[in-house]
Amino acid sequence: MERNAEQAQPSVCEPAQNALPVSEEKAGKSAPRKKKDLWRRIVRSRHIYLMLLPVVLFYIIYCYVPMYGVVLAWKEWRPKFGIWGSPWIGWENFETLFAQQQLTRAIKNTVVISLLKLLICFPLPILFALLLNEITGRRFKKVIQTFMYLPNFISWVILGGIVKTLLSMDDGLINNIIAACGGERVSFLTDPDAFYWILILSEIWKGTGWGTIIYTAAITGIDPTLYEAAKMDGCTRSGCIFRITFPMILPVCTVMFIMQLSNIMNAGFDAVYNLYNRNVFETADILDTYVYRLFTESSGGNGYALSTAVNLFKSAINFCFLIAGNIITKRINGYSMFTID
Amino acid sequence: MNKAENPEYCAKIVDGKVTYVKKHKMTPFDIALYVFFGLFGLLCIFPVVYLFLLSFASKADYLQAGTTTVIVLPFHFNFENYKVTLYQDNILRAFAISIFVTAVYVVYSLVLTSLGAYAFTKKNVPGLKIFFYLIVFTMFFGGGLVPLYLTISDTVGTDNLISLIIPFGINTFNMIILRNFFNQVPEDIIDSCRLDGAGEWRILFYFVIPLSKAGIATIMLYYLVAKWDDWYWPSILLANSKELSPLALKIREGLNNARGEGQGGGWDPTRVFEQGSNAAMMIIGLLPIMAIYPFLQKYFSKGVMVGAIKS
Repeated sequence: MERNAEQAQPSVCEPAQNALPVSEEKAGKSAPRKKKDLWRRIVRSRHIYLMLLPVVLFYIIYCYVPMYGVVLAWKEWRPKFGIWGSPWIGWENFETLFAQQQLTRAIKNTVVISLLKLLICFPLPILFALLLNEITGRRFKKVIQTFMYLPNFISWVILGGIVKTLLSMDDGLINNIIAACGGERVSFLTDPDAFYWILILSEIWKGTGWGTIIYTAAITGIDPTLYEAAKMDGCTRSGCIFRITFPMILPVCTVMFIMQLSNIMNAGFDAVYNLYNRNVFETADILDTYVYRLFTESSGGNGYALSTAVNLFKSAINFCFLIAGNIITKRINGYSMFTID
Repeated sequence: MNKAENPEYCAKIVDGKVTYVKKHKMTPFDIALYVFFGLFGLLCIFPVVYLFLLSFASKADYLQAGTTTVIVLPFHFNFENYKVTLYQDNILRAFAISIFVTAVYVVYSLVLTSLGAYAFTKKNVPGLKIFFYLIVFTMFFGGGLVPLYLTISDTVGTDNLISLIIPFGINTFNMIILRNFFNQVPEDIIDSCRLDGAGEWRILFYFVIPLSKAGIATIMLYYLVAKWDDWYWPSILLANSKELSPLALKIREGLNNARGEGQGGGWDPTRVFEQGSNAAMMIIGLLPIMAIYPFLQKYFSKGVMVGAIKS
């Protein structure tokens, strides 16, 4: 059982299976011999290095060079001089930002939306996957899965358009239904309190079906003999769900939870940006949308440096959550998310 | 009683022999499940169906919905909304640009991702582990919007279509999924290829990739959808050349700027309405995905599972 549970972990960071060369571990071999071995292995893998070359170049240019660019957070942006030449100004950018009410508002909204997503959008796919597993009709299951996965492929731009069409005050479908039932038409789109729920419901619609896929995969990986044995011992159907299926997919759930937790400062730019409007900024403006506006609306000002500073702040917090989460998973599950071997 | 005649049993063929298995009885719980998932499935496709209805309706149908019919039904079926969209917004040009960018991007990123994924399946290559760690690190930490933008404008420049393609070649997550697929290819096959004198490049392109069709299809769909739906980077990188806007950006702008229900042109202004032409525009944006989805879906639901599970 234990072995199976370990097998079911999603392998975002699965090991590279790089066994240490035997020669290095064997005692009694002289140093030059070792060196020669290493050299031989390097020569033998020259084609692999050649394959890696474009990949590594890509990562250097588009991931590691921009990573250096975070120093812009401590500089004053001068377009003429670029990142290198712009003058250092210490923590001034951060001071400017934290003095603004906009940033605190964005932090608050980001955390609230992330927590709502963690509480509501995270458990739903697990529940759905468990229930879906109980459906015996294969054809029905397949058709429903096809339908369920579909919303994931509808972009937020279009989904935002759909939501606006459905909720519009004068003639949207939802308001038509409310009016037909004798209620008053509600202006959902300009109501700051309604925004959270519009966002969460859209996320549920888009993500729940697709989210089940990884848990369904984990459930398929469970050894069927477990169920047979349980049935022999008189285990009921609900007993099987709560005592076999759920515990068996729990490791996957924890890993997914940590991944979510490490995204706490990303409340979902695309979703928010396509659903919000100026009327609901109070509850809708998150860090990413703030960064984007700082960047696109900065004309000659220091917006570039400010937006880099916000981004850095965000990444730093996310990274802390990731590390903390990883330590916790290690404690609970006995393996780290990033072990390589 | 003979099992073959008992209605509680059904025939099943196991190892070429007919055996009789006890049928699963429908309990109230089962019925509730069917109803629940049936409704959920309908809910998932309803908004798209509604868009279709809206895009073929006329203004009269739309106004009628507010008073009597509640849901918009195209009693006066017409194509005027599509005509407006196609004439007014230069949508066809944006459509062609999107197709071009997406096609080139998918080929480029698939090649790059396959190279990386294959290299990382290797054992015994000195230094590979370090590269892998460094690449995984980029999944969790990056420079952010501005430094990446500046790097892109320094390397490939802005306001051209190449800038939408080159800097986004690899998604690390996709590469790791593909690597898991490549790991499924039996070692024996690769070894025997090598004995027959095939080099690493030939092994990758003639054996490993064709044997991982489900994986390639999955990753292809991911890249394709991501690029087709991308409006974020086009809005930044093509800020000064609106004529190059891909479809997703065009749709975003179209939905946010009220275009009115313009006069003139080849359409009938009494039938056109803003929500209808918006719906028509969204349907045009959805079409390619909807056309491809059924074909790739069978691969990819299988594919995600193999990719997601460590075996």
